[in-house]
Amino acid sequence: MADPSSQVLPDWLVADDAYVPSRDRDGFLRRNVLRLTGLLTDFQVGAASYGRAASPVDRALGAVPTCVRMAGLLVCLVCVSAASNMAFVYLMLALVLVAMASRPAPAIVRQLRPAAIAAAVSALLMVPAALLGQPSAPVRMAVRVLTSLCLVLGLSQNVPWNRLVAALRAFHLSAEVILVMDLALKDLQLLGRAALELTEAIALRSVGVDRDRTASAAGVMGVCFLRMHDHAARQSEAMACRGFTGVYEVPAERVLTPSAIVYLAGIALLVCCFCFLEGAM
Amino acid sequence: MSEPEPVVLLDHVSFSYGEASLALDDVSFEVAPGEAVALLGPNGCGKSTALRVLNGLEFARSGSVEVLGRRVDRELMSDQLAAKAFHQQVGFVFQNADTQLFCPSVGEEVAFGPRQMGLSETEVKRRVADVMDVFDIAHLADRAPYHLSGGERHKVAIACVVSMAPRLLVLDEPTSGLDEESEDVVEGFLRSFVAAGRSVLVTTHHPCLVDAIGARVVRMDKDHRVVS
Ligand SMILES: Nc1ncnc2c1ncn2[C@@H]1O[C@H](COP(=O)(O)OP(=O)(O)O)[C@@H](O)[C@H]1O
Ligand SMILES: [Mg+2]
Repeated sequence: MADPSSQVLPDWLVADDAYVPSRDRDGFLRRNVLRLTGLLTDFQVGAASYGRAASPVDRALGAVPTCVRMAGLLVCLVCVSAASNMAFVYLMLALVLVAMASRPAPAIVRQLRPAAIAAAVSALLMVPAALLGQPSAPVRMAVRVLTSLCLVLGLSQNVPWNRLVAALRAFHLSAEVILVMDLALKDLQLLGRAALELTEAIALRSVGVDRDRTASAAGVMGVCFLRMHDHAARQSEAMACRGFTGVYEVPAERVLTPSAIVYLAGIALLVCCFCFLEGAM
Repeated sequence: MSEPEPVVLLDHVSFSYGEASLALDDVSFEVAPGEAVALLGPNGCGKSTALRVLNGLEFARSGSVEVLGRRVDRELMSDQLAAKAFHQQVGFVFQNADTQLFCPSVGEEVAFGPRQMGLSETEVKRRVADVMDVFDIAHLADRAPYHLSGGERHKVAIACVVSMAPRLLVLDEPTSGLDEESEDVVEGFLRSFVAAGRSVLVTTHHPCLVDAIGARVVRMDKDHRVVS
């Protein structure tokens, strides 16, 4: 390879014979690893948040300061898990599903799939209780988990991570806690993206039979892990270079806007419902 | 006039990520056999998106995409055999090279494609050796791709798709981050590849790459349209 300007290409590269792929059991990668990494991308924070609201409901909720939404979410989660009367849980589930139905189909899938999987797993875990004489336990558990996860994912997938972080500020958490959360959220998002890109790259190059299935699988997992690790390291270096002194400034956002008041009224109404159904009123 | 059928044909293609974020607006261009085309334009104008669309990673909202005489749509991509044949014939190198390297060593990385194609191990070895020689990366054979420098990684990423002997190479900013010598290697290779009758579509910000491979320029503007 002396003179690059007059390269002689190997004959196989310029030959004209067509490659005919054979059908094979290549399903392995496609079905397993790709699905696994695909799941990871479901958890991407702010996945739907490229400067647009996914639905009317999200646009309306988008006007509510994020910290108010986080507080509201917390209240809802506590109520859902504390409710002894399943009516309240079903009410929340109905609300969540209505909000979800207003989103475009891909957003619904992204939100529903991890929630449904988690719900199915928790139902399985409760099967022994059913055998021990509480036949409705698995269903109750599954419904609770489904509702809670839909609530959480509804917020995390529709709000960019930087707004989530800014919202934490309003809770007067210490700078260190916010920094850690910020880095963790960002990493999760980057990891989701990395997994997606690797998945695509593999799909593009999987043009035939994958003879060593486990190796490719391990490769993807390994690179994702390395990537996360390196990213954390590079980020801390970059922060040091830019004069990071241990103080982490996050601009706080305004809290009591009109839409926040409407939102809080809605939450208050839900809490009243909860108390009423639990027989405390 | 009986022109040969174009290798790539984007016909009034529009695409947006989600509802609002338009990335391609009524984009049309083509690449002829034995032609090199360079897609130029400011950051964010939709160059990478155009490449993703013609590789079947995204699907056009409207308009049609044809590559090597086949319509690139959901149907093609869901047909396992057709999709495999398509991916062998169209070599795509991502803008961010490390997102497409996942094997333990550079040698295995380059061998991945040929092995997938079911070639004999001698043939695989021959191809790997040839490609490594072309891209001047033989000394990296046993290194882990993940720990290479950015420029080395980029050359490896290109070598990985070249080893599948594609008919069309689609490269997203192939010379960004390369030193002069590596740039020469890549440019020299692309020139010979085109001279051998194959087609190349690159996006780039480097005018010298355009000149070096004698590419026809298709320019996009920040409104995601092709400027005529
Ligand atoms: N995954 C994505 N989701 C949403 N928007 C995206 C995504 N990727 C790119 N975009 C947007 O699409 C537009 C075109 O991007 P891209 O094709 O990467 O530009 P270029 O490669 O020309 O710099 C940009 O405005 C970018 O912000
Ligand atoms: Mg780009």
